[in-house]
Amino acid sequence: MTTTVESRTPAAAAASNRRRRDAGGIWVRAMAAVSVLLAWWLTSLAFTGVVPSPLVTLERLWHIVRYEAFVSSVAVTLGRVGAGMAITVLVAVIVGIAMGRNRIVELFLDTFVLIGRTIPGLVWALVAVMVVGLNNSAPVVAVFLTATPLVVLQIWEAAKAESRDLFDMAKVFEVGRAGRLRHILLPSLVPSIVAGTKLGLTLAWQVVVLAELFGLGSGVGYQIHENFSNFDIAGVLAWTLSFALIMAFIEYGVIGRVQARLVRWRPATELKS
Amino acid sequence: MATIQLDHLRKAYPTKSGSGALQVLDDFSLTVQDREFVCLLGPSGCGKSTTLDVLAGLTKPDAGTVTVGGSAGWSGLTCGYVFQRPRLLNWRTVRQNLEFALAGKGAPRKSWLGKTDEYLRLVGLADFADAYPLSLSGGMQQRVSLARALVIEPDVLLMDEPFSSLDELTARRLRVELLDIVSTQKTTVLFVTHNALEAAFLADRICVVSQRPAKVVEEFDVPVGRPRAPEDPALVAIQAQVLTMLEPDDASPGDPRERELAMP
Repeated sequence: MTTTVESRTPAAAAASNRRRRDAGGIWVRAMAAVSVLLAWWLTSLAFTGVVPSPLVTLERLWHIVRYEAFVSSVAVTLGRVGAGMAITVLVAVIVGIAMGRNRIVELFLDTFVLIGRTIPGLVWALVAVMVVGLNNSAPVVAVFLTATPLVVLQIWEAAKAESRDLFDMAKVFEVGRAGRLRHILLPSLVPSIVAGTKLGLTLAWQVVVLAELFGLGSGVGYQIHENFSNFDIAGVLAWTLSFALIMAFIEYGVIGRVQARLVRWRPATELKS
Repeated sequence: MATIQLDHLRKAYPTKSGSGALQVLDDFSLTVQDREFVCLLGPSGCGKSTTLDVLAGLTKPDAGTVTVGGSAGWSGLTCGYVFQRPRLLNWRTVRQNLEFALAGKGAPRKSWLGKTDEYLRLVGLADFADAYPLSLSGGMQQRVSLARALVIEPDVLLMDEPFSSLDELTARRLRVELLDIVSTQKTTVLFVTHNALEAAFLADRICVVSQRPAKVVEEFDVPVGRPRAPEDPALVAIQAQVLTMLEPDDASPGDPRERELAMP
């Protein structure tokens, strides 16, 4: 009896299997998109004159991109999301580490984090606009208040789980405090920092759009509000869907790639999380 | 002169329930001469690891003193420690894990590439310098941990059952390599094991440690020249002698700890 020799390395074989599976996945995804469009189209037939068809919405989007302030509105909103998330992540890393490593800080802050997590972003957007006023800081503050508890929670738990073993090892090899922070604590937190950022981002863009809706004079939320005032449903849908697609691209395309690079030390099977 | 002296160490840990205390070390004393290779041999959980941690400065003893090289503490001597589990930085490559130790010791950066190459070759991992630890098997990870301890060329090497997770063939080869390295580098070694034959093969002196609280109850010199053959009848005889010593009269015959000790 002869045995067939597998000439490819296991890693190459796994990669090719994954490709084959993904190729099948593309068809399933395409089918999903087609069914959504179909359902949308049927709905538009049932509510003629109220719900615009996909084609009408697409035409409206084309108009927005060509003649209305599409790029500048998206840029303004993205800028607010980015600024809010930058501050959020920075604070969350510091607070999360402090809570994970120091029992007193933990006892002091854990109630705020746990309660803060349950307060809806909608409320923070309202409060921020009322307190900070109709300016660029309001959406940033709203993002910060909404997303921070969530991101802190991720980092706090990871910082807490970090075992003594590695710190003891570093001590034996005479690695100082700075080295321990840089080579042990921070890298061990990277997966949860990225996961927290992704989670926060989903909330952040919704909160920013809400704050803009509540009266800011620029951004995607403002444009949605304008179209709402004119009862232009196609306009509302066109703005919402296009921005949602951009955010999805940032989340899965850009951050997903950054994540894969930052946690490439994990075996491939764990990469998904 | 890297002479190790442990004097009258005491260490108790609070028990889980919080009511009592677990006396791990009670008046534990041990001296390891400069360049000597001493094996601490005893049942699992008897306090051998605690002894190493106290010596390395990771655990504060309740009483007693640690002296390395003549004055209290480590007086500038370097320590390499191979832990029972690898304790690697999973987010750094194998080579970077070794560099972590080199940086801590303050070795000049120019020497890093040569040194890491040399010691990775020694533990048979030359081809895995750029691999991440989690992509390696447990035995390979343990060899990285061994290379990390050796690469700083320490004055004192502490080893906590470093080969117990390896397959016997690899362990055998590494034991030979280890003896080679420590004799060229004139390292003082304190090696914890529960494997009597391993102890006989490696050590200049075997210190048999009692059940908790740990105490050296018997010492055996191993007057066999190096290089040694693992099957040398003289070593096997010493192993047998050590094993009879380990059989306490009052222990139940089926105690799994004793069977562990008899492991080749």
